[in-house]
Amino acid sequence: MLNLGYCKGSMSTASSGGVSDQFPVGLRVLVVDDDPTCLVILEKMLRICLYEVTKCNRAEIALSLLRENRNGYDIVISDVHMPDMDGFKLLELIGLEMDLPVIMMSADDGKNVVMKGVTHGACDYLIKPIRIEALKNIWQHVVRKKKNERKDMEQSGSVEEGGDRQQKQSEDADYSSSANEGSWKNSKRRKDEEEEVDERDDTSTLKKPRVVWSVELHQQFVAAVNQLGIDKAVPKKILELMNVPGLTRENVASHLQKYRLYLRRLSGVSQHQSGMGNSFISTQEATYGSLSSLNGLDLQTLAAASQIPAQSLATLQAAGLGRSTAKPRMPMPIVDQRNLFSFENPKLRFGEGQQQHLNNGKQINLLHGIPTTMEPKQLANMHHSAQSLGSMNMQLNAHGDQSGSLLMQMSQQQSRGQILNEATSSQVPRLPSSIGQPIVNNALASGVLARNGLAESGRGTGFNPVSQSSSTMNFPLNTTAELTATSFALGSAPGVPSLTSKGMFPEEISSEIKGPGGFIMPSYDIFSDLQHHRSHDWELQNAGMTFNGSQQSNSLQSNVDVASSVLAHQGFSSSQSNGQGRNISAVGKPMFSAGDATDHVNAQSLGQPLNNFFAENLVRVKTERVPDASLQTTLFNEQFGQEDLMSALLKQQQQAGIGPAENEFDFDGYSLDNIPV
Amino acid sequence: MASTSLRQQLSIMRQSFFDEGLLDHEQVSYLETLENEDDPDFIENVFTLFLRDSSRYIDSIEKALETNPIDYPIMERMMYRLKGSSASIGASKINGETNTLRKAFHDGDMESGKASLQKLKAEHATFKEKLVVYVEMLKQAKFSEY
Repeated sequence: MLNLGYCKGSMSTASSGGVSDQFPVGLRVLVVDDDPTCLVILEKMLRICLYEVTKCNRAEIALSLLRENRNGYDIVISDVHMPDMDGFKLLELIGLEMDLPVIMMSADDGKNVVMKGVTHGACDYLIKPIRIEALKNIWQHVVRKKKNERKDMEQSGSVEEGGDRQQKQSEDADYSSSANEGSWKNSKRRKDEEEEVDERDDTSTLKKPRVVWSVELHQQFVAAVNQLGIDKAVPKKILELMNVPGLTRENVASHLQKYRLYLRRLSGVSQHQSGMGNSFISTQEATYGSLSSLNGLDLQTLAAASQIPAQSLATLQAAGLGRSTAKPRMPMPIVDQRNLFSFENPKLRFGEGQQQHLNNGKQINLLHGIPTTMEPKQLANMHHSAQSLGSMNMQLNAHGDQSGSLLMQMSQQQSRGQILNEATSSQVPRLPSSIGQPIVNNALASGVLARNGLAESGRGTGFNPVSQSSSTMNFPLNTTAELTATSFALGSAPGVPSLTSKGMFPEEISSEIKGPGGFIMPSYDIFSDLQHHRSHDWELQNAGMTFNGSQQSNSLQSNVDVASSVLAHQGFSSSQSNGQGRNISAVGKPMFSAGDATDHVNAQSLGQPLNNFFAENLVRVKTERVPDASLQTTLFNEQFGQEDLMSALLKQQQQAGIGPAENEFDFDGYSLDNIPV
Repeated sequence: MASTSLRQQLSIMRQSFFDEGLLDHEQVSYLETLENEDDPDFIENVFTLFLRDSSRYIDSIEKALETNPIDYPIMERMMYRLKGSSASIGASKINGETNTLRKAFHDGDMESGKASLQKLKAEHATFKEKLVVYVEMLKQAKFSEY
């Protein structure tokens, strides 16, 4: 029904024009353009179409509007060039966090730029001057998206008991949209990452009373699910296994739904690899496919890979994998991950961009050895990182099994991310250089990564391979390859050096990388990505956010910390301790949007709840960070969680290159209303 | 009648914009159809905004060129904005000149770029003069109609 289309999950807003008869009248459009003339004209046209229009002239403002009111908009129209943030990055972020359809517009009709729109996941691309005819039908994107979401949900929910189904569906709807959104509404610097997802309830569309899924609880949940087998895990049995007083089957069911979604997102893969239907989004990510292959790579390879420029990476992948990179979906490459999650499907891990739970973190440390140094420089590294991660994961698996898986995932994710990033490489996520640090397995990493593609999650060992790629990490890229940015360095692996300087992500990684739910993506320095504006990574953001928490102590902190710190911190600081600098670059979407983030690594569970938060937080962090970004001593580029990185980067760049002029030239003082009218 | 003559003048002026290639007939007519009684000042507002912003953009481009090192990102952004806004209101000459400018800079041809910028400035100045008058007349016509 159309109504659903409007209300993501929660039928909130009456304004959503829920009245099907009138649809699309009242469609709530957010239009973002830094040129006042265009903005006024567009607004006029949209009003004529009887839509509800909110204008704003800055991407950051648009994001905050969207975050504050997650369900307040149905569709976003944005220009490609914006002063504070690249339109594509915004596109990715929105896709990750809020999962809203986004239409790009531009005065440029160059093929490349239009292609970019496609790869980043724009649902349409309009060339200026825009005519009203082009706007009259934008509602179709809203409906289409809802339909697809439902389908996904249904798929994931299918496994569930019939009774739960309904519930799930609605929940899924909530989650899927919200999960992505990361907006867990309150992401405002939520420190609570640990609080997890539940926190977001306040704002989230869920109407049910929620249980706070703490890290432990989630771990228990995941353990139970794994024990039962993801396909067979039904709420009732899970509940029994968990044996937590006060927990109802409903709580479990809803959490499971989210978890599934999360997994699906992670895997993005063609379905069912793991049994979930993976709705892999794999957009472009062909690389994913490759990534998986890489997992098998040895660490050495990884290490090497890290160094290898993205291109090589791709080659490696191709070689190693034999997969067609072009495959957008990565069939969960991480086989090993299985171990980690044991239940899930490794695919999920990769969730193409979705954050992986990786968290297994345990071993992630293994990765430490790998020079995550990916140095921001090139995304290539990131890719490698991703790859490495993948490999690492493998390795890890061996070790810690868990971490390995996570890592793998992470790597995978990362690789993906990297690959996706297309080479944004410049920033090459900072993959925690010091991966050595045992990243807390926090499943988060995986989770987170998975989500965003960060795959890093969990890595426990500081490996945040993600970091580099962090941006690339898995961001679920909604869009695409851009992962580069996304690769959150989720490195969630706690050890993963925060993206910033080290590359190692401090424990953070472990933090939450929780899967979609709470991924706490280690803050990897998405920077490199940021540069590229890989919006994709934004998902990681969440991850990144979470990471912060833990980072501090390198020691694999329980992810939760990381998450919190990440969030709270915007990732920067936390990592500091480890040197990690966790940059939670994971800016990418709030992790886990999948709502279920629980995916994360089983047991590892970083405490994923963060993930969700993170996502939001990441975003938040980012904004906050931005000013800090520059502060980061470590490579400026590196640190910050994706978001931050991005912002930081942008800022930096602006400041550096542009100098204050930006404002001068940019008429930032435009009086154009940024605020919704 | 004042209003008639004013409207006539408006009409003539409007046509001259088209004849001189300053404004694109189709686009302007299109914009005019968007105006309705709820928002009778739409066209005026749009033109006024354009006049204000385009001047700023051009100034920014100039400044960016003069800084050392040249501030390319800003320049690019300004040119891009100018391109979009001029296309949106149908300011054909300005739009064309902006494209030329962008191309020159993208190609690294500073000389041509600078020359093109001067040309753009001149075009813009002319256009602005005329448009300001036109907008004024539009406003007056509204008042005198009733």
